Formats: sequence, structure tokens, C-alpha cells
Amino acid sequence: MFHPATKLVIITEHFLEEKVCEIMESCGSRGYTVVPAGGKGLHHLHPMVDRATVVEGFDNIKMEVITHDEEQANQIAEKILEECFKDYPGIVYKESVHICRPERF
Amino acid sequence: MDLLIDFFSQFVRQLQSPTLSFLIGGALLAAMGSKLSIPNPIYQFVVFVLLLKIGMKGGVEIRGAEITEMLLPAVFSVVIGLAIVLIGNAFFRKLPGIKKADGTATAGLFGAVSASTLAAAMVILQEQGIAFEAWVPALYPFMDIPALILAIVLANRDRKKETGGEGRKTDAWGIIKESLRSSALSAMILGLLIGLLARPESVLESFYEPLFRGFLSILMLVLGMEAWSRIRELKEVAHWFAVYAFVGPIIHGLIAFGLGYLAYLWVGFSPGGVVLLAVIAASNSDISGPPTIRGGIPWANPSAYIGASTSVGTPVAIAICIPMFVALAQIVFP
Repeated sequence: MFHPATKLVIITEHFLEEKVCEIMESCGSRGYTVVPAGGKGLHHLHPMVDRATVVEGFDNIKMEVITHDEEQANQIAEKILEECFKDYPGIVYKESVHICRPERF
Repeated sequence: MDLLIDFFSQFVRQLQSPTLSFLIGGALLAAMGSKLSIPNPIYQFVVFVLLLKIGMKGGVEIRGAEITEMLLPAVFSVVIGLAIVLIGNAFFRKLPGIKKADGTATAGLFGAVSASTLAAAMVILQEQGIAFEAWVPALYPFMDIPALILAIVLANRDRKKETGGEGRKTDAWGIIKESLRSSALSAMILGLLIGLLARPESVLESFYEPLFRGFLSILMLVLGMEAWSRIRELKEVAHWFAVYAFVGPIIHGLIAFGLGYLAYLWVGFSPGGVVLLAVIAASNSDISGPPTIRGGIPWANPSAYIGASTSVGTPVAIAICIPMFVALAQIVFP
């Protein structure tokens, strides 16, 4: 029932969402998941609060994309490092996962 | 001497207005570590209703106004926006230990405009019975967008010089689009269009007008809480940012007051309009400016410019500049 695949995870600032999605799609991803994220980084705490924050776009998000082809995950990671993370903070890592319904990825 | 006493008594009276007391109340709550929090969607809804109402009211009035009246104040708005960025940029450049980009980004935010400060000023003017043209809030983008673009152009030019050729071309059209699409400006533009093209008077009077002051008090509470909670960020950067954030709004407002006074003499710009122009200049962008700057000058430190504007600049613009310019208007204008 389960098939091996690679999951690439990106944690970064909210307003990079569009850019990162573009990169994933340009590398052939057919779908991805984006959720709000919070925690502590190198420099400070990124609290996950639902209180009003006045300034838009500075909250963090976690993006996940699953692919059959590890090479594709590497390619996405490389592009993100090159195009986004020279100037902006962010984290990228990959994991081996097992998926059901492989035709959906 | 009488003039000074008059000025200060006016000033103190302004501090007791509901708008300012909610701002101070919010800061106090945050300072005491209160668990009270206003959820983000409510804040966004409040901003939307306020800006829609401001736009609609402006649109209804522009319908009957001579558009040429707007011309000089609009030109002045552009000039003020650009001047603030150039002055701020020159100021930070003279100081030791400040990264050029941080100074330019901060100057850009202070040249840009805060919708909440604008709304607060409109309510205080109404309470004082000082009339202004309802299209004055529409001057907002004329000051806001040029200031943001100039800051981003300057920062990219510096970067190009420093790195020897490697710099990005500023996408001015992209910034204009981004600014117009921001939540605050798009609500105001929607209101303007509805006011201009439709006949929204009934809903404006029965729904938006009565809500305005109450919603503004909630917005002030949020701004007060946010100001206090961001002070920590400002502490991490050079103290010069706090100094600039305190003195800048007052100077920017006075420059605009002077130019507004010229418009009063030349084209009959209203005293309330002069005050609003001064407040627009004194204000610094809180909602939509920071993401624009972050996108255009990613190598500048957000703690510097957001800390300076949200924790010092906005409270100074609301609590000091608005009362100051209202008091000044009551003295200057017969």
C-alpha cells in the first residue's frame, strides 16, 4: 500500500509563499501544503499568535511538497537557496516518507 | 507667551480625547503583561471598515468637487513623501555604525503613510469641529507610493555601488501594484469608487458613519498594544532609530503644515485639510509599507524599521503630532 517518496520541507517568512510556490511548480510539483508556523530561530522567537499583528506578512509558514523523484526535491531546494535564502531567513530539509495513492503525486 | 499657553492648553485637551486614551490604554495593558488580545481577523475587519468609510465619504464629496482643487495638495504630497525619504536618508548616513540600507528602509517607512493615524486625525478634527475636504484622505497614495519607491531605488543603488555592479533593477510598477493591492489602500479605493460612481449615502449614514468612532477606538487599542510589544525589537538596534522615530514625525508634519499653509493661501485649501496633510506626513506606514520594504530591500534589518515605526513613530504621530497640529491650526487660522 505504501510507496517510498521524498518530502521537502521549507520554513520561511509568509510573504515568500508566492515565490516558493512558483519555484515548486516550475520544477514540476503538482501540489503542496502550506501551514502557519512558529518557533524559535537563530535570532529570535517567532511566536505563533492569533492576536492582531498590525504589520502584514512577517509571520512564518511551513511548506511541504512530496515527490517521487529525489532529484526533483534537490532541484527545488537548490533553487530556493539561490533565489530566496540569499537575502531572507529560512530552513530547508528533506525526509524520506511513505505515501499512499502514488498517482496523486 | 499667551500663544504658547494657548497652544499647551489645547495640546493637553487633545490628550484626553477617547482616541488617544485608548492608544495609551492599549500600551498599558501590554506593559502589564495582560492576556487580553484582539484577534487578527477583527483587526483586519476594523481597518477594512474604517478605510472603506473614509474612501466612500471622499468619493461622495469628489463627485461635487472641482478636481483641480486637489491638484496642488496632491503635488505637495508627492514632494513631501520624497523629501522625507531624502532627509531621513541623509540623516542616517551621517551617523556612525548604521547600515545604509537600514537607514534608507526606515526613512522609506516614515515617508509612507499610516491609514490608522489618518483615521484617528479625522475623528479628532470632527470632534473639534474643524472642517476639511473629504477628498484629503485620497492624498494618501500620492505620498505613500513615491516614498516607498524612492527608498527602494536608493537602497538598490547603494547596493550596486557596494557590490560593484550586482544590483537589482527596481520594479516601480510592481511596487505601485503591490501598494494599491494592499488591504488598506484597496479598501479605500473601493470606497472611493463606490462613492464616486454609486449612491451609497444611505448605507454610509446608517452603518459606516456610526461605526467609525467605535471601531477606531479598537484600532487604537491594538496599536497601543503592538507598540509596547515591539519595543523589544527596537532595543536590539541602534538608539538612533528611536531618536529618528521620535523627532522625524514632528519635523515631517511641520514641513507639510508649511506647504499646506501655502495651499491655503494660494488655492483656499481648508485649515482641516492642512492639519490632515501634516498628519499624513507625520505618520509612518504600519500595515502595508513593511512588506513592500521587505520585498524591495531584503538586506535591511526589519527590527530596525518596524521597531522604529510601530513602537515609536506611530504613537508619536497619534499622541503628539495630531494634538500639536490641531492646536497649531487653531492658532494660525483665524
